[in-house]
Amino acid sequence: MTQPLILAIESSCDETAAAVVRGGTDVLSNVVSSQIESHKRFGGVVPEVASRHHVERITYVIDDALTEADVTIDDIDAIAVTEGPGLVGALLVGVSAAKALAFAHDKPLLGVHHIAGHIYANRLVQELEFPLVCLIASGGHTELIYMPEDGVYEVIGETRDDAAGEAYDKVARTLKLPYPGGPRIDQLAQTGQDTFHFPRIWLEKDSYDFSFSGLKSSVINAVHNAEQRGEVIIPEDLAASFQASVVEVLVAKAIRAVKEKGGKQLLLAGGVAANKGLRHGLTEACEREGITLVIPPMHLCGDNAAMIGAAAIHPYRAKRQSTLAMNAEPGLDLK
Amino acid sequence: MKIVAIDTSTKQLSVALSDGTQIIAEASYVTSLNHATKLMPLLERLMQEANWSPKELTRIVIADGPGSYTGLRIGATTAKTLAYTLGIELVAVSTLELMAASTGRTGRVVAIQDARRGTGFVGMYEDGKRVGDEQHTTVADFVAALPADTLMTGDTEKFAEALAPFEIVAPAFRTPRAGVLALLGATRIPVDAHAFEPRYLRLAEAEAKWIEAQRHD
Repeated sequence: MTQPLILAIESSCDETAAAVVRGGTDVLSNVVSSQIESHKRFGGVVPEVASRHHVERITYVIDDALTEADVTIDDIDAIAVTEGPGLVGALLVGVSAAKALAFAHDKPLLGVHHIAGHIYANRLVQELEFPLVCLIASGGHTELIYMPEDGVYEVIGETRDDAAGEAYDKVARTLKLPYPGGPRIDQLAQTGQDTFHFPRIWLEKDSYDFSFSGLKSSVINAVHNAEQRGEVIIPEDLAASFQASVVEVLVAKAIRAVKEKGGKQLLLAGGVAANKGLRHGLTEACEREGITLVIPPMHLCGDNAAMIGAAAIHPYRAKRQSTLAMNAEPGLDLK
Repeated sequence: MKIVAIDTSTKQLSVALSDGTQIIAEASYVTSLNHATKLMPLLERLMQEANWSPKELTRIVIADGPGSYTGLRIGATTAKTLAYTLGIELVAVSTLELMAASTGRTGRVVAIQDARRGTGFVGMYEDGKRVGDEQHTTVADFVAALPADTLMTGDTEKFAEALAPFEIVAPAFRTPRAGVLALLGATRIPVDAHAFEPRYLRLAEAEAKWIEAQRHD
């Protein structure tokens, strides 16, 4: 079977991205135009600003992806696009462009779930073995997903309030760190000590769900109390203490899920997969427990379109095509 | 020439095909609840019925705003991607000019889109030629100084009091039509598809506040 060539588009948040992927595994190009510099001044992603940037950049990014892959649109077998979840105005730009391409060249149109993309970013590095468990941690998501087989997803745990990345950004704001705060916290934590002993939020004994808002409040209270008492907070220690709590809970629940579900691999996915503390914690725990850990390389952790092209191989092979009536689905469930 | 014209800037969705001198086909949803799901199926249907294939197209004409931000982006992204990927011309025409032209009337026409809190996006046209800049402004102030023989079109109900002295175009001619858009754009100079952006005529709210804050610093 010849391997299909898929042109994939991703615009769910603040990266305008396009990629050409062969057979779901072979990345021929992976172009990401980040808007982070534009959103820094607002201290976070502003949806209307993000949507405007996507329109400005979308065809440049698509053209670059084709050029870098050294193919033309005629060589492409299908157009894949993130249909959700994400910011609706941002998603609509990618969806509109993908539909125009599919219509203009009479190519199959494939809608891809953003989180499925993050999961399949791992397949760009290593063959996946099922059943497996995937820990998703990003600015918008914290989930544990059980995959009994290729292309089948079962959400076994999710956050009940803030996503892990969201808690990172809020703590960073409390420490007056520049946006995006997550990587800065991680950096500070490398040289700090867990001196604050913030609570670990486990929820019910057998639950795979997460909660980070209580931890976030504890951190903010610690900072405010110190300010009122005129004490100096060591940012490195605060960051290390916060990170220790997040990582301990994420790692413990992920490891328990792998054991209870009989997973052959543990996958890490999402933007927080770039977090050194989490990578280190998971690596150590997996070595101890004899679990195979798969972590995407740094450049595939954040939002990109190669991961969408990787995940698109399922709807492509199953001939599960979307129609030209495809909409952006900001709250799309992973099925 | 095989021209496709698209307008998604207001609550109306309109698509047309034209050979540059005639309107071949035109279809509109006067109140489309979802441009994102309706635009491409409608375009596909018109083209199938006219027996046109995408590869034969020579030009895309898009109404580039002002209008609903989301609506503008759906149309703009679709139009620029089609033009880019088919290697054909992209022409942008003001939505306000399109509204004025869709009245079918000569003389002075003012097109108004409601932008809330008494403001609107307004543009004035005289025998099809733009007079002054299109702008986001207080509608009552804008029309106060105009001669009484000015024709009003667009979201006129929202400004009934301020527009009382003026003739309001009949409802049947008050909505922008892609057929009119196709003919307006048939002979205009194309823009660069890659660089094309809709004209929002207003900054994103966060951007406006940020600029304001810089001014105070």
